[in-house]
Amino acid sequence: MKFFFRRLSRKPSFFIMGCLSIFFAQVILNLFIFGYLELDKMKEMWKGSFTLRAFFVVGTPPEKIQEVQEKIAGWAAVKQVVFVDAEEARKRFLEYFALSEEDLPGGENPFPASLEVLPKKLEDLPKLAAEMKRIPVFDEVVYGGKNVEELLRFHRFFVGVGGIVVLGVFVFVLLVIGNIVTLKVRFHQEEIRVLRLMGATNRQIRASFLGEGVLEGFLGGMTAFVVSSFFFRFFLEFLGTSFPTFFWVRFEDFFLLLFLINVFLSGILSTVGTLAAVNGVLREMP
Amino acid sequence: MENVKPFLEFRNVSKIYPTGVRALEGVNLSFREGEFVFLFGPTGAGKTTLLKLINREERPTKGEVWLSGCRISHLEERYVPLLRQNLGVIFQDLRLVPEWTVFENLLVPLEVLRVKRSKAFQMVKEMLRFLQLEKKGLHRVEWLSGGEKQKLSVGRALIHRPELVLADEPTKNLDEESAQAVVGILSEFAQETKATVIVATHDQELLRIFPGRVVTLERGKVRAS
Ligand SMILES: Nc1ncnc2c1ncn2[C@@H]1O[C@H](COP(=O)(O)OP(=O)(O)OP(=O)(O)O)[C@@H](O)[C@H]1O
Ligand SMILES: [Mg+2]
Repeated sequence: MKFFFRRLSRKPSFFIMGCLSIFFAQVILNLFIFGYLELDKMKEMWKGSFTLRAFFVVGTPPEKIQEVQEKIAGWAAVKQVVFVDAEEARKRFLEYFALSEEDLPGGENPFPASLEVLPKKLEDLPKLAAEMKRIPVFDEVVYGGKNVEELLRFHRFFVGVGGIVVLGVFVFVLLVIGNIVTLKVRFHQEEIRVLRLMGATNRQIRASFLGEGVLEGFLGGMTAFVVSSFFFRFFLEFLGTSFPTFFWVRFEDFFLLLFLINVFLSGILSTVGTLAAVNGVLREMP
Repeated sequence: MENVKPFLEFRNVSKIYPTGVRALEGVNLSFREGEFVFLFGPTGAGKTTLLKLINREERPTKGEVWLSGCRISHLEERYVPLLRQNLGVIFQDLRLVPEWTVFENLLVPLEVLRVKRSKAFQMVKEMLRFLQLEKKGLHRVEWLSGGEKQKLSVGRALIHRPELVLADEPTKNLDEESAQAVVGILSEFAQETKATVIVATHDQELLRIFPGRVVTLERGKVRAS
């Protein structure tokens, strides 16, 4: 039925409002998706820098070292264990501070051998450190400590509090969408009554609103996708050139995710919203 | 008449509105197929109520209404659209969609019946010509005069060629000439298609001009049939 074009041409403002509300819901969601992915990327980056380092007590026999290394490598939370001997540690030290052999006084190598442990999940770092401290062969166990904990806290904060805030805004936008659709259906209440008196079934009436709803969702979602895509593309380019040392999400990585969420979610939102609103009005009618 | 099964029948029908108004009381009536009937009575006699029982806008408080062997007063809700699709109704308050064009309003019964688009357009065009509203096809209903709206609502009731037409005060707000033209259209339609037509009116003049059975209602009761 072509009631949809009839309604659209007589009262385009409802259609535009519907599109806009879907658009804003999607843009808010897109920003959150971006933030989440970016944070994950950052976490990934810092994971490399905050490796757990455990120094052996000077004089630990090589068999003991081997045994401990194998034991730790067998733990479920551990991704990788690398042994760094005293010689290697010294070389790294010189390299790091750009010193030459002469700058360092000769004699006994003051650097102890150590194990570099990479956890599978950054969150496991403190627990892993505590466990390793309990093994007597280690003199000291260190990691990014405060920094790592802070990063983890921030991550939890963003995902938790930020998530709740965005969810709240999202729910609010959903309510706005719902109310706009309801308003629209109510505006056409008299016309629905006429259609019913002419023998239109509830299904026909529902269908006559659904076309418009789906198109609204599609247009709103697509606009959100296009606008977000442009924004993220240029924003990421800007970030990449301004702060080249950081890791930024690559736009190509979440392009598809963005597209799917924008198109499908808005389609579902508008379809469900329309059906609920029409059913509500139909139920009220005798 | 004795051997013909009634097409539409009211069996001891009473309608008491929730407000306590007794709109109809113990109505027994039967109509044969193809009959042209005037439902005559003063304001508040229950004419509209009687018609509303046929298209299931209302249900009787007591009694039964039968149409074509079907007890429509007790018809399940989901079959009501089917019943309405086979009726042509001219509502006392017209019930046109004012924001839509004349063309679009005429299209509604055909769209509900899922008539093919090209065929439906053809039928609407013919109806516009028949109503002499060709030039106003694309005008919105809210721009029409009262008489034009009345003609349009007649057209909408007849466009899908229903077997039963219910016309509630179709001559209200019309001058004598237009009133007779509208009833003329209904009577012509009845003769042409053998449809049953019930016209509710309080205009005695019409009864004199047009032949047909007259059912008189008074305070919810059938006075003469
Ligand atoms: N929905 C309703 N609720 C309560 N009372 C109603 C309702 N509809 C009609 N009535 C009452 O029922 C009585 C019959 O009304 P009805 O509309 O059938 O009369 P009518 O013969 O069509 O009158 P008119 O010629 O003025 O159209 C009136 O007293 C009216 O007030
Ligand atoms: Mg009336």
